[in-house]
Amino acid sequence: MGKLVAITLEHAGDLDTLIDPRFGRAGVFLIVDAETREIISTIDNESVEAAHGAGTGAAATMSGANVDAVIAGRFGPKAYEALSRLGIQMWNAPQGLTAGQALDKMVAGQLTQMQIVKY
Amino acid sequence: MIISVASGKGGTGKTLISTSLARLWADGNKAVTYVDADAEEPNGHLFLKPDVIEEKRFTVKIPTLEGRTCAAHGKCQEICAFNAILSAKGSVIVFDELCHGCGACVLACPEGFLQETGREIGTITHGDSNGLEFYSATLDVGEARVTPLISGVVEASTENADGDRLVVIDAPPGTSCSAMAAVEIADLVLLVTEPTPFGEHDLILALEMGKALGRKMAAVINRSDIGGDGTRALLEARSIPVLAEIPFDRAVAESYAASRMPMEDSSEFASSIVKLAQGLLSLAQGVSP
Amino acid sequence: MKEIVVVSGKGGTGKTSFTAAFAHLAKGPVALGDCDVDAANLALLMHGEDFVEEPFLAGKRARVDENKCTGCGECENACRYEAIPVIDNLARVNDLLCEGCRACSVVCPEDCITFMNNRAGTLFHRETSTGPMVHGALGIAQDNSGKLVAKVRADTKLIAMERNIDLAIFDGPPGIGCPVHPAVGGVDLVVAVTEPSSSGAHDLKRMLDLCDHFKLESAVVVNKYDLSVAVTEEIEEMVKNRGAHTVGRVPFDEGVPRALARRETPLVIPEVKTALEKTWRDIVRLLE
Repeated sequence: MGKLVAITLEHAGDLDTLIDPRFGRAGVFLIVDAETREIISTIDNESVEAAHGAGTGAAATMSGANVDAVIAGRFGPKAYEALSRLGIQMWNAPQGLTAGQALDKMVAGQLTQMQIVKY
Repeated sequence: MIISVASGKGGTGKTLISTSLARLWADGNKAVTYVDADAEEPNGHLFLKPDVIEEKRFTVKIPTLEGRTCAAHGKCQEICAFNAILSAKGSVIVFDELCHGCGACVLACPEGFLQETGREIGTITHGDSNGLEFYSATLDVGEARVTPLISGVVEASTENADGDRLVVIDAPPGTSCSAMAAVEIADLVLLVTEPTPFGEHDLILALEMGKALGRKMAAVINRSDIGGDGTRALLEARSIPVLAEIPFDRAVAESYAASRMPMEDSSEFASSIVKLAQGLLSLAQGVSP
Repeated sequence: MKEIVVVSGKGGTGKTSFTAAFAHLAKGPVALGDCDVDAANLALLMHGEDFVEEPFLAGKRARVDENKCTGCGECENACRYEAIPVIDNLARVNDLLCEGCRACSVVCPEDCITFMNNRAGTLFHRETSTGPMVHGALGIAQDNSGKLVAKVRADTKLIAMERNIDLAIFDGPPGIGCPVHPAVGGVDLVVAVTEPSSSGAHDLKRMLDLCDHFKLESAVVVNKYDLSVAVTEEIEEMVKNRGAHTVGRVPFDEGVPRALARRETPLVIPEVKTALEKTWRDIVRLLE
């Protein structure tokens, strides 16, 4: 099995669905095996409606899903800190890509990876 | 007696009126405490110019494992309503600014490993201004949650106040939880308002707050000659006594701008404050003004 | 799209009336957002019809199953907000104090405390003569956490994008705490409205500290400057020394509050209008 990647989507869908630029307040997370492109699961983002800490809440969901990397348009400062500390990679995808396109670009090394800082 | 000086809207003259009242009473040899609870933008010190007796850093509680390795049950993360704690590989990640210090994670930890430690968020200043007891709270820039600090300064300033002491709390504007923290403890809420539609709109919210808390309320109308009659009609309809009306006075605005006590520069303003002070004291004694 | 937020550390400096004036002075349609949800007043000056009204949910409140509660008081001991006192052998939740933290439910031996969504306020979309406007009203004693502010800002941007409007102006919340952060984060320009008093200057400094903290471009306009020209000059000097911009001075005029009482913007007073036009030109220049 390859690396597990979470891709943000505005609503439930598949690899042809457009990614959600937001991480913390993304609609759902599509969990995909980066090697086989197999969809492992779709997880609703319960943090969408959080009054506080949507970013850290979504990071907790990522930790629970045991993913190695996340693809989103952007990461808020708290999400960035949380994912850094959890050792989960963050990849920035430009707006307008489908989940599949973003995944392919990540695998091909064409997305920007956010540096993980030590806190 | 504890009086909270509040307003739905900012800039109505809360600090002007609360510092003036406190000064007037203190100069009349009453035991008075002035509390600046507007911790995001504290200004009372500019006018009362206190000699600082003590400055104390204020802390809130946050959870910590104190370096211990836990079994990562994840109960702390699961229970936290504020997404402030993550359980990760035998340790926890705490997001200080999100934490409400509620202690739920500590209670939920099955191993009992989580402890609490203090985190500084602001300063509480205690001082003296010519015989007037002075307290103020200042939130550190970049901090988000002001309510615990406001509760902290209110508690520090009132815990040893006996019944005869007059405590004037300069509350933050608005009616959210931070304003509530400064009004909750009051025996009497003095609403500072103005006769504009803004003032009227926000007064409705402030009246609801006082009502929800079941507090006795009174009002003072500042800049009373500028605007309409909507505010007065509203107060009358809700049977809230108007203890004084303070007309706009350029001398007051200029004096205030220069951090002087406007009572010294405008005798009209000074007599309005005297009238207001008398009204408040009669209300406190249960006599209608 | 460019985003401007109009703020003031201190309340009552003229932030809201300036926001309304800027909307009228801008060329072309503007998307307006009232992020001062604790005292949402922009709608009093920007007339129009609300075409969307929806409840705004944030946080949770405890609910006790009265049939199961034995009144043991464990919850009362655990609660740090004194929000769940036991009265007559029954735990009773005070919604004004409850923060929905769930500490009570951890210790409840009867497992009889649940949490339900809390309606924290209402969100509105309005059509005004200068373009769309989003405004929200927070209920009493609600946690002004910034979620409603974030929602107002997001909705405003969304509508602006749908309609190809390239300027959004936000009326920011007062202060420097939670609600201010989502209102100012990532904007193109923060316009701080202040007044020439020691408290105005004091609060402005804290506001500029916040802008530095978030690495934001800021511009300062002094309202009612003629109440103290000396303090105005001090403020302008301080602003320049800190590397922020000054965007004009606006005179005090008793006609302004009277205009506001008639729900008109300060632009109806000629001298004030001239000053605000200059301020707006300076702001536009900074945006370019």
